[in-house]
Amino acid sequence: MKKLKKLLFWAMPILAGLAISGIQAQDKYIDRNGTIIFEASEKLFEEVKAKHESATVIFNAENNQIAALALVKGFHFKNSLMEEHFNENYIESESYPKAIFKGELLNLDPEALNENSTEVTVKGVLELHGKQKEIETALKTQKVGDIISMTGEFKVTPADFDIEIPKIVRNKIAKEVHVKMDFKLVKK
Amino acid sequence: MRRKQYIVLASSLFVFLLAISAYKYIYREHRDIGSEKADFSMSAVELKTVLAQEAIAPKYIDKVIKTHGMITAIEQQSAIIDNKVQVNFNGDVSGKLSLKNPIAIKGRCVGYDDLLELVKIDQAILVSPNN
Repeated sequence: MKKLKKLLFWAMPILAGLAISGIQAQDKYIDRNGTIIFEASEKLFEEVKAKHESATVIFNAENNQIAALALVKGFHFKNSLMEEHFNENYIESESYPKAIFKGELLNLDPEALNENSTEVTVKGVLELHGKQKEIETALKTQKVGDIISMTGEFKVTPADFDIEIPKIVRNKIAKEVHVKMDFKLVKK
Repeated sequence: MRRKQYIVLASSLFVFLLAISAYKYIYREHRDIGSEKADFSMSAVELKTVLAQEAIAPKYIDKVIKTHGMITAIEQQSAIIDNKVQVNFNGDVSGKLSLKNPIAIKGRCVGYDDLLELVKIDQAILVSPNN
C-alpha cells in the first residue's frame, strides 16, 4: 500500500505534466483581425451599417469549439453621429463593452477540410447588451495550407437583445439586422 | 415695403444658417486620433495590467493612449507589442515595422480582449518614443 502511495506521489506530477502538454498541443486557429459587418438599412434612408475589422476568433480543431469576440467600440460607421448614438443609446457600450459568441461547428472533421469550400453548421450563443441568443447558421469553410477561411451570415433583431429603437427613428432602421462575418484563421 | 424685404432676407439667412449647422451636426467628422493629445502614456505591459482589471478599465476605453514596447508579431495592418497589446494602424505602415524592433504608437484604446488576453488599440499612428 505504501509502495503504491509512493508510486502515485511520483507519478502525479508526470501525469499532470502530460495533461498540460496535451492541452498545449491543441490545434488552435486564430484570427485577430476578423471582419464583422452588420447592416439594418431601410430603403430611401441613410444606410445603417457598421464594420468591425479587429474581431478575435479562436477555433479549436480538437473539439470543434469556436469563440468570437468583438469589442463593441470597434464598430465603425460612416456617420460619426450614428456611431455615437449606437454606442451611447442603443448598445450602451460602456456598460456592455463586448459582443461574444461561443459555439461549436457541427459534424465537422477538421482533417477533411480542403481547398474546396464546404458548408459547415455552427451553433452557439451570442451575448451582447447583457442578453443571450442562440444562433445557428451555415459557414462557408475552406482550408488552404495553415489558414482556414470562414464566411457566413445570420439575422438578429434589436429586440433579441433588449435594444429599444425610439419611435422617431423606427422607420429608418430595419427590423432585422443582417450580420456578415469573414474570418481568416491561422494555425498557431 | 423695404421693411418686408428686410424681414424676408433676414429670415431666409437664418434658415440657411440653421440648415448648415444642422448638417454639420449630423455629418460631422470622425475623431482624428492622430491629432489628439494622448490622455495616458505607459508601456504595453503596464497598459495590459490596467486594462485586465475590469474595475479600472473603463477609464481608459475610447481614450487616446501612447504606448511602447517590442514588436512580437506583425499581421497586415496590425502589430502586437510585447504580446500584450494589439495595434491596428490608420493607413499603410507596411515596410515600417519589423519584428523584435522597438515601437512607439498613439491610438485609441478599444478595450480588453479576454480571449487572447490582449489590449486592442485602433486608429493608431507611429510616433517617436521621446515626445
